[in-house]
Amino acid sequence: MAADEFDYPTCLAHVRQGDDGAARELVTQLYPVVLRVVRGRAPVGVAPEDLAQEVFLKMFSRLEQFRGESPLPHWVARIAFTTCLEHHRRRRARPELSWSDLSAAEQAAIEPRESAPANEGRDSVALVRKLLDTLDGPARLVVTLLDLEDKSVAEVGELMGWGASRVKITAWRARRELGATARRLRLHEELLKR
Amino acid sequence: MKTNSPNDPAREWWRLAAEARAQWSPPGPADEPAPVPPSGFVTRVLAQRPTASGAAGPLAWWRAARAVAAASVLLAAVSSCWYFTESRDERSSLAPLFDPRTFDLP
Repeated sequence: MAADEFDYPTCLAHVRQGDDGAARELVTQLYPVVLRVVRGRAPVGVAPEDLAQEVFLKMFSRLEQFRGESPLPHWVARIAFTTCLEHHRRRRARPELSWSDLSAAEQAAIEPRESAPANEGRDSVALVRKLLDTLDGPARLVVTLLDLEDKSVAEVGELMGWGASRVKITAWRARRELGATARRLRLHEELLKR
Repeated sequence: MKTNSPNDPAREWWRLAAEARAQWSPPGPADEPAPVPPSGFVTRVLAQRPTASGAAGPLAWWRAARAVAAASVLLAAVSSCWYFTESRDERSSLAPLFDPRTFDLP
């Protein structure tokens, strides 16, 4: 991969000397790294590109603090993750999900697959995204990482800067909340069928 | 703990998450081509980034302001110590004047 072969230390040295060309090259090289973290983790209503821009501005302002103990892309990925987390924390409004907010495909996904008349037209991913949006920011990230991206508790703890017990408690509470919302939606669906 | 217990309050969530996981696209799958910055993105970032090395950036100004504030507090502490010490000395030198024993009272 081209990004792995890129000589970050040399480029960084040029950037620190005020070389605009090197700064341009650095942003271009790190853009996929940043977008990979930001995409799918940006809160609703925040464009991933805007978050990516914020990440790069933070990177340039903190460049003096980079000691080179870890590779630059890892350091920048960490900045990108904490930027997403900050945006999630700022988001106070948590939408209350109701049956009418769901599309036909999302409504179909509420019913268990085995008891559904047809498997077609189910959009579980869209439904799960809407359910996740009802959580507060950090809880949403924790559950996404653990239950959908199959990360371990230790990995999530490291990313969030939390201890393992805090990760587990947050996930437990969030899953209970998600379960209750899904159950409420399913009850609504059963009532409509009667 | 992923349970199928009917008493598990997260049971519905486990079922939906299991269904969604198969189709969930983790950010940036390995086989996806690396995204390129949209046009104007790099220029915008470079235009907004903190002052280049050589000039004093916002961090340098903040550090300077903090140093000045710390020096002011130190100066205020030293001068107040000096003031009170001096006043006390003066008070102690004037004290005999107000000692009732020094007055000739009937």
